Amino acid sequence: MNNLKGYEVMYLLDPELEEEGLDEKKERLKSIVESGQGEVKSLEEWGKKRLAYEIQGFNRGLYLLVEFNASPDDIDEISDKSNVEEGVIRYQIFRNDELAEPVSS
Amino acid sequence: MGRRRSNRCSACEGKIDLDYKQYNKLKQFTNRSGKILPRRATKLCEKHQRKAAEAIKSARYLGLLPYGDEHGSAWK
Repeated sequence: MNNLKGYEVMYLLDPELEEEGLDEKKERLKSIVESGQGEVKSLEEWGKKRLAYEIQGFNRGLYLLVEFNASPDDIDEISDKSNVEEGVIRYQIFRNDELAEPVSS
Repeated sequence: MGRRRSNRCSACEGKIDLDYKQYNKLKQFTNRSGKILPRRATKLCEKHQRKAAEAIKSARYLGLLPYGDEHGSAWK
């Protein structure tokens, strides 16, 4: 069970968070990602960007890249929680094999 | 006798990283309206064409690249 794999998730957030509550939201998202036994490795803020097309009425969005490791069994839970998290317009989880933890026997 | 133009895949040569985060670089594999170019135009090998297409589609979902110039405007 301690076989953690590397992942990264890109969050597209409501741009209004930039003015208010971004730090709070970051902590929320961190705790979502760490729902299981995983751990956040890095959190990279891309800042506010213009969207290539309108999404849910937004023309701009905040991008946040979170690198973490987690057990593959935790990913469903992270998705479910991200789905209902307020201020998240879209997100996508990717495998990132560079972050995989060597299996401790 | 004419030498054939070299047709090697730029990703195989390590010149480009096919990652959605490098979405500005991925634009070279789309046409001006944002559609993914065919392999004969991108000069990528099968494997890397597939990777490029996947990366472009991920970037599209996240709003980093357009789906096409009619997307989101035709029904307004």
